[in-house]
Amino acid sequence: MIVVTFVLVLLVALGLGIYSRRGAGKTTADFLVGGRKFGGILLFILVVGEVYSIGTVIGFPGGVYAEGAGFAIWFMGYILLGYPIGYFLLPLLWKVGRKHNAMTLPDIFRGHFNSRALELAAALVSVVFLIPWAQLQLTGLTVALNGLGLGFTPLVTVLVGVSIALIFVMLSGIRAPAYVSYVKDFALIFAIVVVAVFVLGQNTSIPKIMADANVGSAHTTIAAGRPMIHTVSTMLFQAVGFFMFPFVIQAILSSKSAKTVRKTQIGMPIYMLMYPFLMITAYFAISAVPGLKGPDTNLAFIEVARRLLPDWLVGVVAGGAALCAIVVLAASSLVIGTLVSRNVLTGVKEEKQKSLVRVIIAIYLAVSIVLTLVFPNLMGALINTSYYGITQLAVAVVLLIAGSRVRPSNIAAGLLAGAATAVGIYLSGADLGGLNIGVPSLAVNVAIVVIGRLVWPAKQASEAVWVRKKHRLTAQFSAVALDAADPKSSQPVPVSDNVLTHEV
Amino acid sequence: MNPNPKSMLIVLGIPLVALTAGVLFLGGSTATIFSVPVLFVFVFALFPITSALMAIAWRLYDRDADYEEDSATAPSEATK
Repeated sequence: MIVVTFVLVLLVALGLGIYSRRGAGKTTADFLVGGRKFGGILLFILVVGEVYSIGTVIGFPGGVYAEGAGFAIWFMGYILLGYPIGYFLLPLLWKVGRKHNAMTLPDIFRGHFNSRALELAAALVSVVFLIPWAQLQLTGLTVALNGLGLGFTPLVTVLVGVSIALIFVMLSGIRAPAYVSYVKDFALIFAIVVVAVFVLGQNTSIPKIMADANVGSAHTTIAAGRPMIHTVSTMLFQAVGFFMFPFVIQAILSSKSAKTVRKTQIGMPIYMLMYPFLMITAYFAISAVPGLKGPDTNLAFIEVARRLLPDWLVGVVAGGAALCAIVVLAASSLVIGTLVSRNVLTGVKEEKQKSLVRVIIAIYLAVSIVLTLVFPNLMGALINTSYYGITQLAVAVVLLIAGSRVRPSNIAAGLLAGAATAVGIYLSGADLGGLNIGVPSLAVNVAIVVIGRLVWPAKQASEAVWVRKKHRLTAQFSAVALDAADPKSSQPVPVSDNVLTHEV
Repeated sequence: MNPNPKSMLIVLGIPLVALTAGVLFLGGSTATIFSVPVLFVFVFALFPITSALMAIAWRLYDRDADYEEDSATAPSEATK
């Protein structure tokens, strides 16, 4: 029974994936960014579908089980702060993305800065740091499938999950995850709420769960010093990187207007009201499923489900959880293929691009599968690892939005140095007193950009995406005035060009 | 489309300051409201509050902002 309901959830999703193929166009743009026609509701579902992955359903309770309130707070906090940032940032990114007909962030960099170096650096950092993200999905997928109690080996489990994800991508590109997201979002909320309801249906109460959660070690407070430093630094650092995630950028670029993109952010935090339900299950697991250690803490949620729910319902919950992983895995795979084919292996013909995308996805998944099986990790740690690198892109994005005299190659150097610093600190296992290792890495990134700006500035400032209104109204006058004031300006820039510069 | 400073204060400033300060000051507290740690009550409350702040800024400043203003097709305004 448990398998029947599990398979049923996946079949419904697969059916929708196939159904969504109808109406999908044949160009690469259709395949990758849904032909840029997504309205507000579909965009909301798509973004939500990719933000709340198996890291939420399985990873969050596991992290709270292992690390307590500090984990819960950074996890919820960075997502919450991500939306207000997106409210302002995303319309601007949409605008510049549309202007350059971009499908990825490196596309935007290439179009805006006309820099192959920056494009390549950004693509490289994105691809490398999306590997832990796939590991995160695969780890969760293993947990969900293990919840069925079929006794599959981890290898078989992972391969089954990957096959389903591949089928979705092959069928219709981003549209499959988008439509499947409808089923997935429902399944996610259902899984979370139903398990919480069963927990509360036990002979227990919130006060008892809270009291039991603190037996042994404190799980409901964040101690001053190291744990607090870790929580706050991770929360703020990851909020900055939240919308740098390549698949979120791709979802944004698939939207039909800047206004839609901004308006869509308003409802996003409401969706987070599922977290109180997850907290109940997470805290309950501490006393109900004692003794989980290391990567096994990932099992907290599914173990509670197995102990409290009837078999058929465990199947539905595990199916919903698996679907979350599959949707994000599909979206990540797709974006990896896009990044490599468009931004790394350039000069590939349109017809060849599609098949090349598929080969690269297979390589990406293979690497992730090996890492998942060889280095099992706490899911929260995998999220952190992805952000160490992905957040480094924020410096380039800020310079893109604001315009500056930093050379694009200098931005690329900062980006690579930041990412390399993160990897170096991570591998060295250095102790920073709780500070998220992305923070010093970001500092290195910024330092290189600042020093480069001072020592070796570009001759002209890059065009700003964010232009203040007063500039617009006085564009002609200020342009003339600037030229007059700048003795180095050998060639006066035509006024009409300046108007365009400030308008676009 | 360009961020409105007042809107930024409401949408970004308030949640950022409130959440960071809340975590720092309430993180070590063992106080509870209806047996839920006060830290969590505060953070959970910020979810709908952040949405509400965005909705307010949207209505006041951003809904009627000119989203086409920066497109290359409308340079006429700057040349007025």
